[in-house]
Amino acid sequence: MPENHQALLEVRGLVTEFSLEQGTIAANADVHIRVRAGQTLGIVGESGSGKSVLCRAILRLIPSPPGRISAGEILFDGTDLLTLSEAEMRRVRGTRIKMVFQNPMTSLNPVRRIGDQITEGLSVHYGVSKRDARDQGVELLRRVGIPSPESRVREYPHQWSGGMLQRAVIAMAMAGEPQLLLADEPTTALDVTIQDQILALLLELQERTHMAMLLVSHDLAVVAETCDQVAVMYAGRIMESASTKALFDAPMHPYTVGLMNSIPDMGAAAERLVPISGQPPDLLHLAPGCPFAPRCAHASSDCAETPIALNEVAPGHHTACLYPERITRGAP
Amino acid sequence: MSAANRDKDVVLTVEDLAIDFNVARSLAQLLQGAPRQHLRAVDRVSFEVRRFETLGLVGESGCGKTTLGRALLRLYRPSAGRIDFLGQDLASLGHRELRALRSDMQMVFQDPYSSLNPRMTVGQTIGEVLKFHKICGPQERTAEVGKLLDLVGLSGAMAGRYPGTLSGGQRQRVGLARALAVRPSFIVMDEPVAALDVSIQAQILNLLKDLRDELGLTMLFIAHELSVVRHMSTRLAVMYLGKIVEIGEAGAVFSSPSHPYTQGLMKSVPRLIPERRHRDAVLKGDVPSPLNVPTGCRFHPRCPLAQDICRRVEPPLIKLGGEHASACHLAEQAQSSWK
Repeated sequence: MPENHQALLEVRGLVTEFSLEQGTIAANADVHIRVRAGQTLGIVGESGSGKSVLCRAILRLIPSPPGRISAGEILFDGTDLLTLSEAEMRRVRGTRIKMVFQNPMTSLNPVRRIGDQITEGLSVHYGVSKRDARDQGVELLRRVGIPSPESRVREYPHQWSGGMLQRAVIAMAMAGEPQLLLADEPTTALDVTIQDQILALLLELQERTHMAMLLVSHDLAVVAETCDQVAVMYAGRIMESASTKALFDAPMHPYTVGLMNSIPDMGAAAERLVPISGQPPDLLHLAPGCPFAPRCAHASSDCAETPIALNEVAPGHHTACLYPERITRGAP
Repeated sequence: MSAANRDKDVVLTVEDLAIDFNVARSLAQLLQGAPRQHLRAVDRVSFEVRRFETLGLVGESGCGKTTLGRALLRLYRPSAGRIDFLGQDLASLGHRELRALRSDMQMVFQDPYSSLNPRMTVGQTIGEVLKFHKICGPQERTAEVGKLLDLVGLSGAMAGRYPGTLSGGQRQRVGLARALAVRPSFIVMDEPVAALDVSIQAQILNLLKDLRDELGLTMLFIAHELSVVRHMSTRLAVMYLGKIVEIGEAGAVFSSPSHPYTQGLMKSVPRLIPERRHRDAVLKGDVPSPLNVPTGCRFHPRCPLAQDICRRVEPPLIKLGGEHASACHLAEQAQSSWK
């Protein structure tokens, strides 16, 4: 096998807690994920499921207080990032793991030229001279599909459209060719035709550089089209993880099935959707067992009482459900 | 109302409607005597809404769909054109008449966080509407609020709660109850589920369908998400840069779209098919600025089919057959090459 079987990133038993006035919540509770070089892992979940916190935890960007990583390991290329000094961590963030956020406008400084911002990392982390940085900035913008980048490097963020800004942020992330890209809802703020362009760009860049990617999205369809592996998150936990094909062809967790049934299909005007009943989980008041149990049609009394670990139910297919055999697609 | 309109039971007729906004000038521009600039958000649009139908209005941000929806409730004054609602020209109405009319037409907004007053309880928010429009006397108000909450699937106990303690889905239900309080026949839904998570979105979409059938509502349903619009609409209009570029019965538009923009939009939507895509983006480039609308067909700079005529001549909305109309010189060619 030409590909290195070792995972580039492996998160084990990660717990990220936040202290609030009303109590402590676990935004990530015992999270396990693996990503290999050249592969994309999709993290899918609704708001509050902990998917963005996971990205930030990997980069150790959890504001403390109120947040804190209280357990687990984040193995990147064999090193536990949680053991690194802040200076070493800064170097990792600048060169090897990069992140793209949802709203490109908040990732860019409105009063600095786009070209300068894209290449700042190159000067800081690689000691590239100003002149070379300018040339590389132009080249990076060309690679992400900005027309006439020579003149546009001198422009400011307000002069660019949302789609172009997200390209610029991606160019900034690609400077120095990172091994891992964390993309946190990179297309959510964009229109569908622009989303289409950005997804095409991300996949093309990945094919060219063989980087690993973590794509966080609330949109199952985006993940289905772009990821090799998928992990479904709910209330800070991974509920199910599998290859994309296995997860969509034969989901093994009632929450995954519920999400799929909630989405209207563009191909047909279905009469009724099958929503997930009840309200999203309140992280302050979770039962010790499965957090989805109160909304689940298959739940028994055991579900709410005992913590449920991820079990391998088929090769590479893990689910945190006591009754995966009860689940069929279309009937949650 | 003309005789022809009455035959089809038309609720709302829009003719050549245009909405302009003034563009702010900087001090420097003022000193240089730069002329006042207008941004035409809705550019001479015509369509009608028929009783009991849901007309879906879809398009990307900045295409004018929200402006159009608001204009129908006379939240903006038209720069040109007419809006006829049940035989009255909205543009000519004064305050008092508008107020009366608004008990027949209502709006549900996208953001359930900013559209509710955080310092008023749910009961006060809905009760205020009942009081203002004199729907019922003070004694019956509490009971009426309870009925409305029940209608949108909330418990009566919610009346005492503040919006801050509600989830997004619950807030959107409150927004809906407030709109329904005046018993309108026509509701403009402006992205009513865009801010919600998918599991909650499905609950709200089902509720909207139920209420529409139960109460016999006529709707303009504005959304950017094609699958949601498909789910809700009986007819569909597609907007691009202030213009309706395609309109027709929803099934027909989705099965055989005739405008290259509609086609591009449909192909851009990711599908639940678990295979890594290897294609390039369907539509290249950005939507042009409405301050600098391209000549001819405004879609031509992004259109894969564009020819010389498209750069020169603006295509009118022309019927292709039946209800289906398209503003494209090459509509028949585009339609026959679909899929």
